Amino acid sequence: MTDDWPATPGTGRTEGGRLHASTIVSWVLGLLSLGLFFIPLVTPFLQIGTLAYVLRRAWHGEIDRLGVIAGAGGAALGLILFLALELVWIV
Amino acid sequence: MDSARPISISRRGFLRSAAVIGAGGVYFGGARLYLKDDRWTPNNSFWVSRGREPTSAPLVGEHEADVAIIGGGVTGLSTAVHALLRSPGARVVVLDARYAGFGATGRSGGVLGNGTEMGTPPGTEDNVAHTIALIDRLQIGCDLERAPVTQLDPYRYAIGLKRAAQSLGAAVHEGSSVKTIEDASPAVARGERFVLRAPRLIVATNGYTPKLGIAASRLFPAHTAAAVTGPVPPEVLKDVPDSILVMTSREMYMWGRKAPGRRVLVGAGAEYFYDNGLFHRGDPFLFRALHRCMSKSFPALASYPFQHTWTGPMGCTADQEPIIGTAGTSGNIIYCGGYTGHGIAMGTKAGSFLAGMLHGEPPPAWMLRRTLEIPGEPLRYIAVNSVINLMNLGLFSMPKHD
Repeated sequence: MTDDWPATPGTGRTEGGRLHASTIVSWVLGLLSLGLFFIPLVTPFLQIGTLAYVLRRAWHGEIDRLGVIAGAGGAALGLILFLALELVWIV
Repeated sequence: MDSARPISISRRGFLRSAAVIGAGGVYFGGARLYLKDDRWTPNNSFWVSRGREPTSAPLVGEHEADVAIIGGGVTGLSTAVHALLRSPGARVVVLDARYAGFGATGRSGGVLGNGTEMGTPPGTEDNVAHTIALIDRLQIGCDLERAPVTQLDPYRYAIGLKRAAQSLGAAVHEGSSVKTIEDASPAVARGERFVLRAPRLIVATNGYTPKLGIAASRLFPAHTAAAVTGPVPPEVLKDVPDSILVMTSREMYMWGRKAPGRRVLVGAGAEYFYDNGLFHRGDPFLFRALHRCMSKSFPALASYPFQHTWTGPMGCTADQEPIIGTAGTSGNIIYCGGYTGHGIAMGTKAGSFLAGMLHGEPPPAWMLRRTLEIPGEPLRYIAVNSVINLMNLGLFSMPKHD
């Protein structure tokens, strides 16, 4: 644990008031994790990577609440949909 | 533009990038090791469970033939029969790695239909009549039902074709697995204990073909599942249609039929396994889902559990239509397959096309068409299963002919 953890939790913005790049990345990764849930092999890696990225950046305070919901929520929902598609294949 | 500026990366950044790349390598490398499986799914079908026929002796030593056929399924055996009906006395040798009817033939539902999965292209309008005429001519006992649905026991049909081919003069060798095919003139099929040379080599192994290094970019195996209930009382069975076709989504469907012994046989699904995998490891949800689907469509069957369940690979192409193609520098290796689950009548007909090719008669032009080339692994696994998943979700379907 370092002294700067957590920094300025939950703002998701730089000192200049602009959206932090991590917030935008979180949104993109969350949407990709959800939208591409039907692609095997690649998607679980993307989804788990997104979850790790979002949680780490959120702890640093670089992602706002909506960004966390988009990133982590998209990845988690995408993973659930992927598993449902793989295991319950007759829809 | 400052082109001379050096690219700098901090130690932390370097370690982080290395960790991400390492994690990706471990993930994809581990997935490949886990997913790749060179075993073959045994044939546990209802048809084979009714009694296996004795197999013929494997091929040993060096041999020559006029026509060598690899694959003792409906395509290979139909080709042998048609070739010998046209050219009595020809030296025809059929090889099968396990036994006649082991592959998709002996695991199918045994329902005969005209056309293909995608429609009725030229030359396929009379597939059922052609198959029935062949069964009658060769007097094959295969529990053929002509109406209201034309259906048979596909394993016994394969055995009947094998016996007919043998009686016409073909040498059928089971337990004779071809390991390599050599592009030469004559072509060479080589196994662990045999070498077979023939000026014309027919590869009729359908979903197993890519493993022989033939048509690997055009054919792939997709595993499907089927199951049969125990005996069902007549009052329940009368409410089940003779031919079952239930759409489970816009493109995927559950098919079925009434099977001998007052049973109901259903099947559904498609799944591609890594590196043209031929082994289904089992799935605890698979047959529960199939039974749930059957029960939803026919509630009276809900209390009748499956007595036999099985899976197996069927040969598929990118456009879900069967193909005929040639390989080898002199084009003397001919392959055929990709029936996408419609292979009993179509495979029988394809056998007549292949026998015609041996006499210089071209098959219907559509069977010689170019198909989308399917990439190698891991893109193949990702692409094929993504398309199957999209079809399961009803978000994609192949254009049909009619």
